[in-house]
Amino acid sequence: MKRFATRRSALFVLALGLIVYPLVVSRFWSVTIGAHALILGIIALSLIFLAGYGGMISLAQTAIAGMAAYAVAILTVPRLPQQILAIPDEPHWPAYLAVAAALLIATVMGALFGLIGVRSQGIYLLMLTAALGVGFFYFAEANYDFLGGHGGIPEVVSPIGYTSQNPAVFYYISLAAAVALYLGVRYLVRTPFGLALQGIRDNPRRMRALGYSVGLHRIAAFGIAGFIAGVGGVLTVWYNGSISPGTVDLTRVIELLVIAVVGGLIFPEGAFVGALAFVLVDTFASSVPAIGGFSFRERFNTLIGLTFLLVVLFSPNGLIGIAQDLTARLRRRRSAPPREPLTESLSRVGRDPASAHADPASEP
Amino acid sequence: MTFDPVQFVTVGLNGLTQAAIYFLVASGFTLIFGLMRTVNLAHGSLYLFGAYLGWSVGAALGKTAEAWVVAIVVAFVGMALVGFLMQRLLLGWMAGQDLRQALVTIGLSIIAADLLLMRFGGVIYQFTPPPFLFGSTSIPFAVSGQYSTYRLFLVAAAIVIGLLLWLLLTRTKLGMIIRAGIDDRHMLSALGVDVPRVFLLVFALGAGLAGLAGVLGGSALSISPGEDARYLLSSLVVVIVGGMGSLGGVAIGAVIVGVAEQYGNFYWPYYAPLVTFGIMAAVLALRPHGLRGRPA
Amino acid sequence: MRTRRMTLARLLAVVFVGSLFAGACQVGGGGEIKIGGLATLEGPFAVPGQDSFRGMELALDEFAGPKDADGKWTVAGKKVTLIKEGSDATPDVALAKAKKLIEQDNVDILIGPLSGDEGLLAIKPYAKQNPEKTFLNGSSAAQDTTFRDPAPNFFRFSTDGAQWQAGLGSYAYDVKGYRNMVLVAEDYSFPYTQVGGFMYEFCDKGGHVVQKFWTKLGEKDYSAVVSGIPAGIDAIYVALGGADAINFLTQYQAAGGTAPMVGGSITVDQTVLGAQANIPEDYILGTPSAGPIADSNDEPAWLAFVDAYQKAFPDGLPSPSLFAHAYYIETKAALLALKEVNGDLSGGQKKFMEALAKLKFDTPTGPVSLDANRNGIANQYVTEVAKKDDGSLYNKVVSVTQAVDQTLGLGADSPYLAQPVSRDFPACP
Repeated sequence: MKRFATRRSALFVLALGLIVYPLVVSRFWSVTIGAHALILGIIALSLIFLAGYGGMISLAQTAIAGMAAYAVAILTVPRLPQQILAIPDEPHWPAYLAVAAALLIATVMGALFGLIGVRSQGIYLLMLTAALGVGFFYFAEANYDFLGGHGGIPEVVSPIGYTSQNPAVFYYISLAAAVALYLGVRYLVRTPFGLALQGIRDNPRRMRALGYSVGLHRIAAFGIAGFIAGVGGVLTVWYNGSISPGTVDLTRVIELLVIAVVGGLIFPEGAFVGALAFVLVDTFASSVPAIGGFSFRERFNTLIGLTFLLVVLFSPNGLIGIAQDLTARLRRRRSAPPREPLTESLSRVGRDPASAHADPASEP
Repeated sequence: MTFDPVQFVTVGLNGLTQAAIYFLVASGFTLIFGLMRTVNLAHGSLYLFGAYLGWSVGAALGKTAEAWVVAIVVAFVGMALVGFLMQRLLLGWMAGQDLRQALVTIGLSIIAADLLLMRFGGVIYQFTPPPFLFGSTSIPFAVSGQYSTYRLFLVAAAIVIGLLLWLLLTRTKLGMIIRAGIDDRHMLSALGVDVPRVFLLVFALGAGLAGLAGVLGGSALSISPGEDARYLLSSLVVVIVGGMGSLGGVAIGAVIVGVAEQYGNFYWPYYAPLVTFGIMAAVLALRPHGLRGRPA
Repeated sequence: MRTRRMTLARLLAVVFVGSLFAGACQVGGGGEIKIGGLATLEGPFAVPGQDSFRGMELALDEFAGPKDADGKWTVAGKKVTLIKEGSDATPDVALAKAKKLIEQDNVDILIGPLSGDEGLLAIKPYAKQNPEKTFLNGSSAAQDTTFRDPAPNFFRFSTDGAQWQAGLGSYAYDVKGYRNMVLVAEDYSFPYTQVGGFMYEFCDKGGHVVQKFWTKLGEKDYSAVVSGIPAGIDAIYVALGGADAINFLTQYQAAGGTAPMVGGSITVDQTVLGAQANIPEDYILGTPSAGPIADSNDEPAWLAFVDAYQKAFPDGLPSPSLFAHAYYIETKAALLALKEVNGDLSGGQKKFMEALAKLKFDTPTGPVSLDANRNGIANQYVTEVAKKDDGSLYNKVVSVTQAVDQTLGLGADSPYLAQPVSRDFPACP
């Protein structure tokens, strides 16, 4: 009873903090830290949904978000850049229509990627989605008919104008989207579809024997993840006020993976915790004074790589995993056994079907 | 663009040159994966590191023809050592956890890319191959009747190295062990082979090949940050198309991808990446394990 | 599950409370002027980027020096700090760093960026969203950053890429006698501008550019281009960055190519002329080029500038690049205007911006002033590659075009300026 009350009050404090946040901090903190973390978190959520509940690590989520971003940019920008050759007049679609089209494209492309990789498992799928995701980057760089090539498409204005001019409103939009998608994922994984997906993650052979269509479930999961990433992509293009291939290059793909792993690959909350941690480190690394000539501001990537490496080596469940362990240790009590790290469970799947069994710590 | 048969031939030659480099890099990648199921996503970093190392040695020795040969050897040995250490100190402890190993290699590649950037900067580095490889050779059907000598050498080198690898795999005891391991790892250890030692050797060999490719490829196309990503990606595509663990598959995959890329860039520049990825998707649809691959 | 949510709640609560404190602790520097410097420190323009910061520091030392113990300069009685950020020639990163400088570091004046796309696609829109801060250019030289729909608070004293090519098209046609050319250039706004500047004159004289090859920035494999260059052309206009140029020229030579070259402003620079490149000397001697500076300029102002640069930066480049020069001029402009308004940046920096717009001063390469779009009017040099007595190669001044404006003297109604520069415009096949 007491635990229930403290949990409730903690959530209440969190909700209050999130809502009051933009009203007390500067524009930079609302948008460049707050909204940015929420948006990255949304795209990371799509990755974690596929990885944690579907057992499929997709490095193509950045690209799918990028596709949605490009769609919104092309359909709504007041003036297309000179380089775009195949579109003679600006489409000038209204925002709601452009967003709907972008989300549709993201969902369909997600499902398509899922189809391409439907017969691939584990590490092979990771390689495949990496190739597809970075392939989109090369395509965006090369294509001058529709995508504007190297320079991309600038001066994309959101329905509320440039987002840095309306920090609080944009923050709330991002927050609403993030909360809605987070709750949506939490709900979805308890539905028959979600449970089937987790079953497929743990033992596809058994599910197939039970009559479930493994392929269709995977493709559908990729489609849903595509939708989530698409929302992130729409918010990204509004956040940046432009879109260019740099938003979807290999560095960004890896960044997303780092966010998901550091946050905790099997926890949807991990997406947002990881994104926030990343954005904070990114911002503050430049303020850390150089230690013996080694400047963190410039060697930011080494810092990120080291953190990532340490997390993978010592806490494959990321920050949330660490928090879980700490809390359990502090209370000297374990409410539920900790989830097996994804990296371990995925390695067993498909290798020795007789021994692969359902995760002991399944959702209550 | 009007079709010019001479240009067509030259572009084809360009494709073969590209294929040669892809083959050299991806052969190491596929050996490591085929035997150990380790996806070494730091493979591109090994290419770049080897190239930089080779360049530094070559420059220190005065950029002569001999220095260039030394550079190649140093790149191979140096990266073999790095690969050995990676397997010994990090990856060997995670045997069986493919995903975790892949993530570790990603972490290493991030750090490596940044440290290499710090040490060598964003500048483009060029190699100095021996003078007799400079300039052009007469080739009957190429544009202006000439083609770059070094590129022809590169294709020849790739073929020679490919043959050496094939001989290694088919005619030596080590090669037999490796092939057996690719087929069935567990049986191998049951037969009393020192599996960890074989893994170390193969990882070192694969890494060394990447370093070697760095100098050879860098001599044709120069090196700078970003090459690691490029060659990692092409290794992935080549191996997906050709099939994991198969040397023949890598050769076929490299030729298909290299040639398709060059023709795509030349005749359809705005959509060229789609050609490569279309091929990849098509192969996966028909043969999910690649053209010459086998199910895990 | 409850544990997880609770720890999440606690974690986020702590972080948010912490950031609230941090956000509230953002103290604005009263009485201090913060200048943000943005240049590329990664990618193909890493070396020019470093030189850009050298140019800035040179100007600060000269007009706001000396540095005090904290590393701050002084102008009009106020302390000046310089905060540097590095980009990588992509608009994305330039925008992110500009946001960091303006919104997190609270700089008053932003000087940068280096590369054309960064200026046109990132900084110009961002400047429009921040009308109360002043943005001065670094060396970015895309035409439309100021030529069409400019931002009222963006000032470019350093001239654009087309201006940099003033005199070159005529030189290629009249003196070199070229009639049919092809061009190889990177596919983004700065090379479009350079090509435009060259072609305005060359096409006007009656020359033909029969084919254009647009390549990726940082491209290493020019085999497609080399294979596609038609036979029977007089010369190739190469508007690639130095590093890309080395790659292209080496591969062109190796494939048996013999057509001579006309160079863009960053093409025949120190990297290409230096011993590092494997390009035969007899090919490169005599290559004409044009730009805002020239190595062999013997005017006293330029010599003094080179001298100051070499003294201040013994491990810098042998001679200041056009990037150091551009950033130097821009920083000097900012400091002169600050002195004029006595450091008064109040009221949305109105007075400061007015002072900037009217500023005229002398640079190491002659006088500079601004036109109605706040774009610079300055001298430009046509050069040719020549050999010194000691055997090293350098760019010799052939002619100086005085006071070139953004229309290159053609006037704003010229048909050449009717459309923005792009891959297909101007065209004279």
